[in-house]
Amino acid sequence: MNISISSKLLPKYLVVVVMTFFFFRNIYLQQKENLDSWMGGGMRMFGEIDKMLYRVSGFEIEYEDKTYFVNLRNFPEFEYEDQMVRILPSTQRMDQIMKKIHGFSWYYDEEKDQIRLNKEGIVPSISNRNIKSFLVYRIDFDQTSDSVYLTEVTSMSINE
Amino acid sequence: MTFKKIFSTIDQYLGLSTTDHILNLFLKMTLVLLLLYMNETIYLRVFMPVVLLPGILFYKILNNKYYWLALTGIVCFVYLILDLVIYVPNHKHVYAYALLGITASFFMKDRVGIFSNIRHVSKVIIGLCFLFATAGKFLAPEFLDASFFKFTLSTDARFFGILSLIGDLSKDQILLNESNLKNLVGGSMNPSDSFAILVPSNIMEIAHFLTYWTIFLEGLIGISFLLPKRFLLSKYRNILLVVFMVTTYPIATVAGFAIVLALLGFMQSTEDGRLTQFSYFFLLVFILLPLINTPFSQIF
Repeated sequence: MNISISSKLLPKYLVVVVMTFFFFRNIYLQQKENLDSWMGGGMRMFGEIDKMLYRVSGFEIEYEDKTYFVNLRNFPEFEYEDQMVRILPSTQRMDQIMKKIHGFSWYYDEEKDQIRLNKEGIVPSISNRNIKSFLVYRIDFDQTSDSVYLTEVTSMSINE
Repeated sequence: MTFKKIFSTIDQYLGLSTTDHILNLFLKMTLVLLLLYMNETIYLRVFMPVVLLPGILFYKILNNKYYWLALTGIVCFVYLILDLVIYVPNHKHVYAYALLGITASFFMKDRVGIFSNIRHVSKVIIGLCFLFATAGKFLAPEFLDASFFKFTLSTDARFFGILSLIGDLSKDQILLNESNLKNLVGGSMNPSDSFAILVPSNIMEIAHFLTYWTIFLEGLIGISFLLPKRFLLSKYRNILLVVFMVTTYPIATVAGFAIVLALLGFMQSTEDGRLTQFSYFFLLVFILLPLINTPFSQIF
């Protein structure tokens, strides 16, 4: 009896249950872990301005009394991790990416006034102790002034 | 000659006059869709054709429930289990939902049961997609106050053609918005920087219209696909889906979503085991969709 009921109900409602699960998981993860609302099967695309394509992830590093922000989008070495942390900037993902960032050495490019990857190892590197925090930003839009700016979604201090 | 006779002649010519023929065509279309669009990584590009081609080529494999079970396992693993680990847009979830529906149907007793259940599941998937999309818009205040469309129309290159037609911005002004946004997220600007987008004088009228139109149409599609057949609105669901596809995809060219809507739309639009004029429309969209990749700007 049970088998015949499930053989009728399963094909009819399996997809409904799975789709509903992913919809509510999308809302939960967006609220709790800052998931990009366009992702995760919630079918909530074309609703919010904030999406991973417009998010920025990177770290702050101090050099000669000035703090620089290093946007990971500019480094192919971090393409996968950057994408992952922009989709779901959880503590675990930020932790992983910070470990990888510490595995590389960085230097100050005077000409461009930027912090860059020290691939060749020619220039003196900045100490990794100068890396202060990891941040994820989202795009925000002020309808009254038409201005577009970045707002912090989440961050992790290096001392955590 | 009436439309009914014309379609009956086409059915016979294409060999689609029985439910069995239509079911086989739908199953092949599903495999073709995966062959064309399940290719994000090098592993999938190499591995998936090997899995999919036997089903497309051999009838016995196409109708083997364990083949579909294995295929569903692969698709669900990639698109539902790893969905937050790799980049998986929403329409790839729909591929997995469709596969789940097909496989669950294959474990029913007879061919007619399989056909009618896949038809039912196709209708439900479309209905829930649109219902969730509508609910999501009510959860986003920036969508309801039209700022989403104000921002998107002015910065997303896919809308620039329509914006330059109905707004009073020059092409250079529109492109400046796009490049400023790229600079802000791409690292040329600091996170503390900002810029003001240039908008046409009539942007709020356009943005409000698109906001209300989207909620109205998507909500109506969601409800019409989920309502039982006895409700009048259910009878208009195919027209509503056609209107959505015709008004959306020429602008927002998300081919991966359009093709799965065409696939599911094709199956659910059958009536009494026969194709309808809507089935032919969705079939035609499915076949012609690769044409949107035509490099029009290079040709003209």
